Amino acid sequence: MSPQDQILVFGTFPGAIVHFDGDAFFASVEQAADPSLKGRPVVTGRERGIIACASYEAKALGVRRGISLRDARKICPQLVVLPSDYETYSLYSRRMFDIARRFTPIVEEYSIDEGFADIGGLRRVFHVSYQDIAKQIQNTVREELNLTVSIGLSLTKSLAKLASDFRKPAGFTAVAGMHLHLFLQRIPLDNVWGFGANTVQLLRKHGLKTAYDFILKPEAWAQKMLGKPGHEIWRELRGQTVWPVTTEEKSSYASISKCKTFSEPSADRDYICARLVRNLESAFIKVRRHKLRVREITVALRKDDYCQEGLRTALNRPTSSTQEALPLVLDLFGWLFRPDWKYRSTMVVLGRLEEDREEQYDLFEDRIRIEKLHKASAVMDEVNGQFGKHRLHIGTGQFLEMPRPSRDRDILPWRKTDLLKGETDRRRLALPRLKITV
Amino acid sequence: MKLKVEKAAVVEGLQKVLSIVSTRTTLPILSNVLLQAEGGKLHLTSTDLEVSVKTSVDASVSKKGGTTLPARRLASIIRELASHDVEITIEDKDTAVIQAGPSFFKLRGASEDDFPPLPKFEGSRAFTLKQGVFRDMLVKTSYAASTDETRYILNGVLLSFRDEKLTVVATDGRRLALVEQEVEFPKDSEGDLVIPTKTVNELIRTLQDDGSIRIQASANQVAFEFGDMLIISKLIEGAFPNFRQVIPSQAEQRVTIEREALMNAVRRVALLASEQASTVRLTFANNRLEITAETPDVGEARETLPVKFSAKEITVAFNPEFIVAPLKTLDSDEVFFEVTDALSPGVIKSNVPFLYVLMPMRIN
Repeated sequence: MSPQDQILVFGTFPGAIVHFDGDAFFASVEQAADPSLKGRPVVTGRERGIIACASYEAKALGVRRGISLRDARKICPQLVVLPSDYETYSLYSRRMFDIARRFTPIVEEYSIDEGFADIGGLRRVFHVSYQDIAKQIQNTVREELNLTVSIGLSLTKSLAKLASDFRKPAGFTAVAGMHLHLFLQRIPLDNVWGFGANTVQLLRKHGLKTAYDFILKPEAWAQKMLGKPGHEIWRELRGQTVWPVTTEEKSSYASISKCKTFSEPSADRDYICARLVRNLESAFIKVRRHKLRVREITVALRKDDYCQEGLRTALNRPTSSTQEALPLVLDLFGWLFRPDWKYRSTMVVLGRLEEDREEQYDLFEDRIRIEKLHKASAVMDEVNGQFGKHRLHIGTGQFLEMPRPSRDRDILPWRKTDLLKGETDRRRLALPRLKITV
Repeated sequence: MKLKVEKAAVVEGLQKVLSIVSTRTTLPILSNVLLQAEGGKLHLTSTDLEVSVKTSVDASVSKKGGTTLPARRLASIIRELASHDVEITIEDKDTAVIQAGPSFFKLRGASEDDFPPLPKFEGSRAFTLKQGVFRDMLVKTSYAASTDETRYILNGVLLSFRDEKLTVVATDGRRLALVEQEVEFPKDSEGDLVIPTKTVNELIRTLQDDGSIRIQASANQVAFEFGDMLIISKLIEGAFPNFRQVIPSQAEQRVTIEREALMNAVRRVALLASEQASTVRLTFANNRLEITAETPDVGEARETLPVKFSAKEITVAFNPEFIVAPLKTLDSDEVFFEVTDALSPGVIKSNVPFLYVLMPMRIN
């Protein structure tokens, strides 16, 4: 038997995992909410000046995610450019996951537009094949939300994800155990979930081209070459479950990060610093909401040419106070910032998080000052809870209010301007709204 | 080089230098031990560039010379040998032949010229102490040193020679251990030395009960000479925090407690302290001390000790490890526990000049 014929898993579906992936999710949601956009090239991300998501119609004309609006409009003058409306996207997202949960309780919300569902053992409930159950999920999402999802069905999460990527949009790909060896021969290494450019380069040096070439290598080789993560991928690709579908909502964080791209690259020190401080404020608000504290802070600045520089520092006492971390972050900014460069985004990563419960006092610390800083953060949370996020902010935030060159930024999604009776610019009905008149 | 040594002696000698040899090092020669034979002695030296340790054992040297050999492999070979004496011969290119009775080993080494030389040392200040006393002072304090690299100045033990006294202090910022001893030294040798923890541990391991130790210090290095040993170490540079300032001058309550009873009770109760933030509560109430711990969804523990206490009830929470650590190293029957309130530091004292300050934990 040639290796091409070597069956990896006998049987069809010893486990059955569905990966569902919303096709061009943000743009598709816009089209679903406003039927007049159906069939037209739609992109979102107007407020950033960069395309966040392009509909399949736009993609067909050569407009991709990540290119600038100016370039996109050049390629396609009739492009519909919308500001991002995350509120509506998350409402649609929640409904998509709710539909999956009608079929099985084991649903993992991997991100806003994709998830996993474990449908193993459900055949006896639905009296149909796993393929048909997966198709029913796909059809229900299309009928109820007017959205298309691509579906991958296979033995493990890694395989299901590869399968859903295989045919898009509105694709359906089921890979049974006995067909695994044929499927993996058609998957280039770059497509494998978890393999970055470096890993792929390394594997290519050893003469591997496809996912199949990789799993034909001995288990010990994968372990030695790529360590634990690579070994886990090797097993997942062979149909052995390493990563179960986890239903828990993310409550424990390893880190919390905030990154915002400016509407227009800037060399203005005050403005860039203010953006960074705003990232810090947002990240710490999340830290406190989850009753956590921070032991490590990373700050990064990304330049106009997409090169990025960052610095990381460990704290000698964990904190949940923005005010306590601020001087440190300003120091890091001072080290990183170079006046002759233009920057396009700032990032703060709060790492080594732990629960903010018991606190060990320190002999050499200034207790009174620390208590004051924590009080300040608590008061700001309280005020902002009542009057809106960032209403009360650290003084550097004033530099954010300076006039900006781009007007695209100031355009709000229609959902925020076309309010229903009783809605405010901070509180709206948590229901997806269609832009139609009857 | 050709020599004959007693197996037991060379095993002991290697043991003294081996803990400095790191298993993972960027400089391969540092995983070797330097062997030098001359004048009836075999000198063994190891270094990690921060700390260097040199010791010697009696040997009958028939041809003097030197080489370096992989330290751990050499030690495990000699440890396993069956005969009383070991013969080590260096052939050309630093290959050693080790013979003992019927056993024959050939071990490839590296030239002694590649081994980093011991730092040239000119100490301007010198002190002489009793080995046993010095070791005892280190044992009673060093566990409190910090391992947090962000507080590098606390990653060691402070030797403060002032006012005809040696004060040894270690702290990680959350607890502080201090012992004091009167010592004679020239007035112009007064000053502070912060010794890295690795060096302190090496000293604790190799110091003997009897005999004296000579300490010589320069601005950034220190040398310890005792018995057959020479340890040269870098000093941690920087200003040690003002420890006197954090020692509470007066506590509200002083309670006498049996040392072992307290230690064992805290150990037992701590079995049910939560893993994330290990905490036990000490409640001093009417003639009793109640030690409690609880972990949600796991359970709780309580133990009561009889003590003399008649004031208003005080509850304070500590990391149990911080209570047990000093009690383990003390040898008195009783200790004095001083407390004020839930937010103020606790103090443990013993009748030897020992003092231990520990910060409480805030519990929600």
